[in-house]
Amino acid sequence: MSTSHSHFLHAKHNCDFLKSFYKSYAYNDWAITVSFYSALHIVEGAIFEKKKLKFSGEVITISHSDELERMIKKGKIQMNNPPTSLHLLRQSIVNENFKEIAEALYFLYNQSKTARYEKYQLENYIVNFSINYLNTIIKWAKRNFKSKFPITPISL
Amino acid sequence: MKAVEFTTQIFNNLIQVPGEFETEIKSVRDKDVRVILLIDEPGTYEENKIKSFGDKNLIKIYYSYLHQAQEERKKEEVDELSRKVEEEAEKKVEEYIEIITEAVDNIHEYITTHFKETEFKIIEERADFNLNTFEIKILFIIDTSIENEMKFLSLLLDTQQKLLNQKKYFAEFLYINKRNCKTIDKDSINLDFPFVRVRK
Repeated sequence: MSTSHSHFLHAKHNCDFLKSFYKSYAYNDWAITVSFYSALHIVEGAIFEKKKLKFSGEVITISHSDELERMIKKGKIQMNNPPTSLHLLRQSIVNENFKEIAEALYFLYNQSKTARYEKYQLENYIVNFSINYLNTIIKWAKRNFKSKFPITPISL
Repeated sequence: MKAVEFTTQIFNNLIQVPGEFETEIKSVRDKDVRVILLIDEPGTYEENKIKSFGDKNLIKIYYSYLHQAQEERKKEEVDELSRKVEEEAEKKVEEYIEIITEAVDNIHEYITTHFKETEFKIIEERADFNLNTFEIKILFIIDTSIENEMKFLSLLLDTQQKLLNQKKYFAEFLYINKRNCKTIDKDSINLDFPFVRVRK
């Protein structure tokens, strides 16, 4: 089972990869996708650390967002429809529990999800915006998890 | 067991016995007798048929009548249940379509009342409807500055959370800001979000 440590290390791995190529602006679609997946692992690490979370007003205890997905599938939490993806479910957790980074994560999710409709031809400033938003999430995690969190913001 | 059959009327809570049965009734005076009342309902049984049956058959037809009545009631219950299920399904579909339409319209209204068209233009509002899963997937194609885009993002997040908390629906709102795009793949968009909100 993944722990917060393993999620944070995975996020660091993704950030290091991002640093290695984004400044060339030759692979903007990948820069955005890697930014999103770095953020995703930070959020999963935060979920593991916090465990007791709110979802649609109810208090739940989970270590990973897929546990919430299983609870919904089993009918332990009543919803009128299933989430279209685990990303959407994770975003809902962030909206309710980690409000400071909700917009940043949603921006990264939207950009990586709609990149295909833009034929992966994304402007350079969108990459800069994405990294700025990823930095918002990194700084938030650093404040909350201190020495447990091994990533420093990415310089632009 | 012996049975006698006759047609009569109940008056003042008393069963009137026809004269031809007087001798028969006298023989059981002061003894317990069992009484079965067959109350006529148009079309439920053929009276002449019952009259022509012997004692045992009369009981049989009585039980058969009861059984038939039960079966009819069960059928009515099943019909009622399937009617209810149909009504509920119809209601859910109507609610689903209404939720998507309302969400799109509210966002549209917010943008048109808070921004000038030169500042923020909604070029297209698209959705996909799935009547099996009731998934909510909405895509906006907008044309605005990156600053306004951030306000729009915040509006989408609010709407998403309201739908989750108040209506118990997950909703995915996506957008493409035309100003950030070098090119737009209309075919992929049409395929993934086939329905367009038409406005006059």
